[in-house]
Amino acid sequence: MGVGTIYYAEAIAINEEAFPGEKPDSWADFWDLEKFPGKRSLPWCDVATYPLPEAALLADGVALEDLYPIDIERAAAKLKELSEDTIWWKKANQPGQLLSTGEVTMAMAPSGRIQKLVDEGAPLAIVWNEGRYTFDVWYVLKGAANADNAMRFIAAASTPEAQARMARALGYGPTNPRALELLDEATLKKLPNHPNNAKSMFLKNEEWWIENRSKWIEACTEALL
Amino acid sequence: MNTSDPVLQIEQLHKTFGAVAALRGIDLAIERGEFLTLLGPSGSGKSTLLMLIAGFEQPSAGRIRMDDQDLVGVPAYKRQIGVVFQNYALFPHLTVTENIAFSLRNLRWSTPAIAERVSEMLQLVRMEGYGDRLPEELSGGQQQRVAMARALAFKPKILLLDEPLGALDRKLREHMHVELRKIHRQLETTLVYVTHDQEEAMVMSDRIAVMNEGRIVRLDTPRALYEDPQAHFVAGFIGEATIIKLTDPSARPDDPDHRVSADPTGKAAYLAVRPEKARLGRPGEGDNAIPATIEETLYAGDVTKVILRLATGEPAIVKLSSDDGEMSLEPGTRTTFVWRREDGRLLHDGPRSGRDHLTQPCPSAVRIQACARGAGEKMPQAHSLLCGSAWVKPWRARTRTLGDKKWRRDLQPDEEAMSQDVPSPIDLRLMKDASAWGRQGRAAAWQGYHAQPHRRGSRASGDPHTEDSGTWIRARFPGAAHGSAFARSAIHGLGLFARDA
Amino acid sequence: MRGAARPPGRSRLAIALLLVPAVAFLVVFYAVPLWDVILLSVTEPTVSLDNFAEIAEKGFYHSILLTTFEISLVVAGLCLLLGYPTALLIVHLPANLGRIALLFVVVPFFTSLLVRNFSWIFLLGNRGVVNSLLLYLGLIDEPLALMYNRFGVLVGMTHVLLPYAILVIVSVLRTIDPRVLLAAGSLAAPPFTAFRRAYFPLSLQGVVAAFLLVFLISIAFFVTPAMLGSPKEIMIANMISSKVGFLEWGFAAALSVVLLVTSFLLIFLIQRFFGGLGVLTAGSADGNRPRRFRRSKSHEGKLTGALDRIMNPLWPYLPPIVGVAVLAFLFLPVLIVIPISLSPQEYFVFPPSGLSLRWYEAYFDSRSWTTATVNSIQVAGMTVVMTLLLAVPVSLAIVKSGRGVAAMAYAFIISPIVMPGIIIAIAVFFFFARLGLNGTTWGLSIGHTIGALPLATVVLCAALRNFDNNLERASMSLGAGPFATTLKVTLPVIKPAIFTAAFLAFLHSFDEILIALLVSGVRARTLPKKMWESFQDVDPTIAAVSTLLILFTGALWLTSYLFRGRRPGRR
Repeated sequence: MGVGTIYYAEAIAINEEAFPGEKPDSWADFWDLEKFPGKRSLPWCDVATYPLPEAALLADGVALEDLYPIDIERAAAKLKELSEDTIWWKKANQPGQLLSTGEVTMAMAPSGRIQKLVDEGAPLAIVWNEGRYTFDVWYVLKGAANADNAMRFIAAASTPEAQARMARALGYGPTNPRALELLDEATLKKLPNHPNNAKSMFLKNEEWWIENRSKWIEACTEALL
Repeated sequence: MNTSDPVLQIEQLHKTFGAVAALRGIDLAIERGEFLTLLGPSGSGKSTLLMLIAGFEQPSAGRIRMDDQDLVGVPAYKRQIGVVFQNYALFPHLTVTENIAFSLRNLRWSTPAIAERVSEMLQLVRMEGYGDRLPEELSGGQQQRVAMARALAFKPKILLLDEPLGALDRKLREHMHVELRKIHRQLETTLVYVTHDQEEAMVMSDRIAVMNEGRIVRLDTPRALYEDPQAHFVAGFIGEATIIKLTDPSARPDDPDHRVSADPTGKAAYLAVRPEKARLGRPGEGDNAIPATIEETLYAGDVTKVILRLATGEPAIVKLSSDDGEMSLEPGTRTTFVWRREDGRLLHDGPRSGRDHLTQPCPSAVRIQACARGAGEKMPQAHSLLCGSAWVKPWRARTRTLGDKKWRRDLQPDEEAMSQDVPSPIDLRLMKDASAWGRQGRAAAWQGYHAQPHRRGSRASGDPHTEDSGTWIRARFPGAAHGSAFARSAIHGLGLFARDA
Repeated sequence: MRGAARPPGRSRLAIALLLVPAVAFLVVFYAVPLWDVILLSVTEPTVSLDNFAEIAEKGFYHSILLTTFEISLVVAGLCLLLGYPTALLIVHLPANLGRIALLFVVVPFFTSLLVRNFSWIFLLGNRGVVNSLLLYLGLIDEPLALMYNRFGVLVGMTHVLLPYAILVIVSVLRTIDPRVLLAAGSLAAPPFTAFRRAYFPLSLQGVVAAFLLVFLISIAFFVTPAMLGSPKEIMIANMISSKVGFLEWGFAAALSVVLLVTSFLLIFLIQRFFGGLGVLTAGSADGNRPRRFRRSKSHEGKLTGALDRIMNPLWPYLPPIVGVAVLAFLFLPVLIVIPISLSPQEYFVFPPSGLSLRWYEAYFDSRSWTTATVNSIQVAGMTVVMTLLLAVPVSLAIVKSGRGVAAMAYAFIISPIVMPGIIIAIAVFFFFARLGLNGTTWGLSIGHTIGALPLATVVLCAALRNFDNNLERASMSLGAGPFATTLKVTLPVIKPAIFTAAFLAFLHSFDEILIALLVSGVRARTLPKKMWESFQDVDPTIAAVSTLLILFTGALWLTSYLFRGRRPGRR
């Protein structure tokens, strides 16, 4: 068993300046190049920890609760529609850069990275709707040499104070609920576990991904070839 | 060859590579159908001349005309001049047949015509049956024949051969001499043959152009060259000769054992005697004679060569018929070097060939300063009018002229004169840098070499003469030249001059 | 070997002793692991041909193979098309200029692969130099998509592989008697016709060799498609590495086998129909034998006639124009990292707005960068020592014994040159996983020695072949035994070659990325691996690192040249 460390989300990030009128609000909008023109940025297939197939299916009209198990072929086919208009990123700091410089208007990105840029004054915004959330977790290997110390570290890192500091610095949510009490409203609003943000998101199905990661990478790569 | 029908005419051809002058004013008319040989030591410019005729290099100045066409600027492939290269340069990936057909395909001959011509050529060089071989499957002599056939296949107006037999052994070479003569007679093509082998040149050529240091020293039939070499270089390069300096043309006419006489006209002060025209022993009536000591005797079968040291200190050589064996030819024997008066040939110049000066000690570099003075009353004010200097390494011919600014400051030429037009002719002064210029340079000045025409148009000519103020040489210009340009070109000319020294 | 005479004093036993270390090393760390890869491909996860069946069935793998071949073919074609005229220019320039021109090829050749790919990121990005310049000049309104697509990959790979093509072609053109062109000219062939009919056929082996080399390296290319491409440019090596990452070892092994078989099939076919492999390994045991030519036919017809008519007027200008452009293309991108490393901004702006050393400070302040640098130098140093200890004896044995066993040993030792790098990396990785050598500097330097050994052996054998055997005879006649002679005469005389070999071995290790990626882990992380990991942060720190690397390589080259006591470029 693991101990949760951060509560994080991958969602749509937009450059607000690109959409002076109506703002995109869903993966369907993300796929709608006519209504919301401009380049997109998505993680490329090998970076298979992001909700690429989920996003494609949501854009294709699948309901949130029907996402898993994912229809890989349908998702890949939907993804193909965007292949000409997408800059594929390989590292998580790239979508923020691409958005800030205006090279793309919308991207799939980890929320914390975008939040950090927003805090620095970049004209970016996170669209929490249809975002995917999950947790990063500490594990200690059985028979590890310094298991005791590791346990003590985890305990220290999981205190409400430590978790609150982490939330302020990274923009990711704490997993210790008591940490939320230590945060002010402005910070809370930026976190994925703020009720306003969390209500329209879905939880990652880790079992499906463990089973199907390789299949998805193949299908994705094939679709984009 | 009395009626002149030149197929190729060369006028005042110059070629310089960087600072090195490879050709310095070649004038040559090649007669239609003749076998002309360019003969000279390596570095004499013969191969450069060949390259210019073939069109592989462009001349720095001068003209080449073939029939009525100006060849300068015409690329090699449009010249209709065939070339046989040293080591042949056969195309290693093509068969003998394809090598020979190469030019014909370029000229878009029809397939049957090509086949016919190729077999004709194979027959000519007696290589029938070798058509399918690759060059590497042939012997040296066979490759040589293929190279001939290839160069002749497209009926060139002239065939150039660049030391084509150099890679063959002696027996094969002698055989090829006969073959080449035969082919020449058969085809009546004009042949220009380059070699450094004087024997080869003698046996094959109609005429020989003897080249040295970028010039044609003499152009004549082999017989004329041998019998009357005229130039020091020719006497030494073609065959062997004893060369005697005529210190006093009428030395001791009374002493029958030491008597040299001739009719020295002009500047000639040397006499050449061919070894087979000389003998050892007592002189008779009408003979010249110089006491000598035998240094070495070389028995060569048909003849015996005797190397002697004359009483004057000069080396001498005599070829004696081997059966003429009554005399003692032991080294150290004192004897007399004797030749008939009419067999001595006057040379019109002194010893100065490239090979000579390499054996003499020389200053590592010579600084030449050139100043100009006006001729006569046209430029009364102009003593030391313009000066410049150059360092010259004699054998490398590296002239480095000081930039205008530098020597203006150092030598302070008359500003007014600088802007004036310089009259022609004008005298150039060779100011010798006392230590470096040395005996070599002075000797050169005395022996009357000509500074070379320079591409800017200055031309120094005449004999240098010495006054208190230095050694002067007269320079001529086609028209007037501007002061500073003149001085620079004069220095350049002197650089070349110094190279001769 | 020149002449049949075998230098005296080296018995069969001595030769065997000299051969053993290198051969044993390669058997253990190269041949056995390779065999393991093949085994793994049919035993993981089950003993069956399932892995191959999957590759054969899925259109997906077909298209990746197709992409791989397509890109490799285009890159090889581009390298020939651009490399040949450049080689021609270099060979026919006056000697001094030719040497300088060659430097424009050699410097990029010795510059780190990663540095060169980074240069292209700085050049081709939307905010890169090219787009900034074009925008600044008002030629375009929007940045052009030059990167993260096929174009970027082709540019990057061509830039990396052109020097190989040029160097191979130059070495072959140097053996052609330039007078064949004069001869053709005197035989009524205009410039291009002369080139086409008399010169080009003689250089055909070089063209084939260059093509083969570039193609072989291309099909196993990993770095550039990942850095400058999009998912559409995924090549087989990327796929293999990604499968290893997902622990599908058997499948990765199967893909490697496919790559291996394809490579060798290709080598075999090309060798069979054109020859040319001999040029690459110039100096197999009977290296100095004169080249033989195959009979070639004249194909004169309408087509060649038309080609001649078009090309003849252009030909005199083509090599200089293409050549100068190619030299600039090779050299300038290497230099671009220098101004970028000195820029005060995060992004390249045109015109630059000032100078700053902040990225150098960033480099020296970062522990992960400096540790990686120290690791790299340590690994490279160990590689040099191991390589020389193995290569010097084996080269002596190969050259001194001539044919037979030693010739086979030579072929075996240089075979890693044509082995796709990713396969060696995987084999070593699987093998080390069992020995527990992954993540250690020892493991890394052993891995690097596999690739450095053939380079050193080629250089040393070439030098030993030019060695005047009479020197050894003289030494022995003066009373020195075989060992003393080798130590006091042979090795000092070939010292320049030893330094060259050391230089090449060092650079090979210092720039190696594939083995480093798989084997080094966190503890033994090398500089290339660190650069690779940071390659998405298009941060000028990378430019600073690159600049330092270029300077370092330059200094290394200079040192080895000073030690060799010879002019550079005359190797």
